[in-house]
Amino acid sequence: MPEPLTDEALHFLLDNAGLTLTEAQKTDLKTIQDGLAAMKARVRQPRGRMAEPAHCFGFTAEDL
Amino acid sequence: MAIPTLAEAAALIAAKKLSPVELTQACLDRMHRMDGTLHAFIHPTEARALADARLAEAAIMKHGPIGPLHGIPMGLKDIVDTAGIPTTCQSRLLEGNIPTADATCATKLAAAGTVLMGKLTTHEFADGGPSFDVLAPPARNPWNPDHFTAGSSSGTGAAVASGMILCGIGTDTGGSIRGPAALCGIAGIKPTYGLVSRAGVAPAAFSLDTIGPMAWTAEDCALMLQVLAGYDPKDPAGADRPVPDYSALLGRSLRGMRIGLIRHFHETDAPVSAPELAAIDNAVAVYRDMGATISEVTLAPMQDWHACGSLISMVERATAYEEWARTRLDGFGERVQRRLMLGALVSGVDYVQAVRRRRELRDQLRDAMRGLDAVLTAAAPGEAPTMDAIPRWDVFDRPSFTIPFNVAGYPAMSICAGFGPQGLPLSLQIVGKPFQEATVFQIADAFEKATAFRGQRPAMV
Repeated sequence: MPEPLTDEALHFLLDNAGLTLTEAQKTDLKTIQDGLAAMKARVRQPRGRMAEPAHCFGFTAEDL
Repeated sequence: MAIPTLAEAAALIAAKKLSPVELTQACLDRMHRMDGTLHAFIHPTEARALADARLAEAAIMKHGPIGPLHGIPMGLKDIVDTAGIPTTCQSRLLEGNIPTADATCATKLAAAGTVLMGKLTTHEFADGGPSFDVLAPPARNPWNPDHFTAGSSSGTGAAVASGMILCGIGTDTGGSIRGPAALCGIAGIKPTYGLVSRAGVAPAAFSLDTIGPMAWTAEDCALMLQVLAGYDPKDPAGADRPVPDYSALLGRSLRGMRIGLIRHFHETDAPVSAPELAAIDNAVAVYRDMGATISEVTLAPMQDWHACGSLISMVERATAYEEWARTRLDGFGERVQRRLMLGALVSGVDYVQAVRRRRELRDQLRDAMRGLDAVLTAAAPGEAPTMDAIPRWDVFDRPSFTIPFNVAGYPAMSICAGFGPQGLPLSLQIVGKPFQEATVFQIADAFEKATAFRGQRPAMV
């Protein structure tokens, strides 16, 4: 389980995203913190620094 | 008039035994009778439909049909741009928006001689329904209007199932074609990523978005995909490949076909209802009887696929709608507001880790499908839930059976696999290799023709 998201941390993230939320929305958003953390954990597999993301691309004939 | 399939109507029209005007009028009559309950249409275009039908009829009488879609009543999800016709994405933010140009898919369907019945209800910006605080009410399930259609191509699912149209456009970012197809008891295919142009269609998540056909049968979807597929330079993800004959394999024997079953998805990762499990087991038995070989396939847990697709979707959606989220967040309905808020909590590193996981998962599916023609699993957990049973944060409620194949980009289709104890449809998902839609249609069509489920329409029809 992640540390509970503090009001200060949430404020920083929302400010960074440019979102203005009501207090009710902020409270609602905090309720999914565990679910979101579980998702983030699932995409972090043991992998070396060389692992490429899916959208790395090669040039096609059209690019040349 | 009984509701024909698209293929049946096309044959009758070609033989001059069915008038496109009469067919369109029968669809309009159903719309007048049922759409007050179903809300499948957000912008019906009755005058346009009758004009299209008269034009089609005159041309067919003179020269014969230009193809199987000539004179066929269809609808477009309301995130598809249509010149001179409102395109609102079901959002108050786009109320009154009238595009000046058609999306590529709309252009292609018009050029094929279809009859445009109207714009179809969607979840707001193809996300997050059912919502009662957006531009129009959500679509309802024709099998029981107290129940959900799934989404986001909710209006297309309801309109096809009730015979208000014979086919329609859906879009699918995480299951928005296959979900409504499953719960409304119709056929719907998410094509291979890049096969159908997304140009002129509102984005949900760029790297997951696909456009595809929804109709009563797999055969109908094949006819529709024939018109939709093909390279479009206006779509940066467009695949520049020749378009095969998607009906070429219909009716061919499945003997010797090798089909995988991702049993752990629907039995242990996210167990489906007992009736749904029985429907999948029945489909497997039907395919075995036809001579197909069934083998079990093991992939990463469905939760991994769901997490990967969901994180990517959250960020790409928040990116697409960032400007409005910053300045007019309360213009969205509550459900979409919540989805957009999530973007603030996913970092750039989280996103790229998800995209790295995506490559691993795609590779895994590719390896698992070596030596197989297709794989099967559930498309939905069971019969449609009631409209009030959808959780506020549904993305965290249970993993999706459909999003794995958006993550992989593979073609995937939902077909009706029977009916549950509430009389609502059950479903089956068939997944093919990239650009092998013809094989998916072959497998789907074989099941539909070997079973009686396509003979049953909702009671209200």
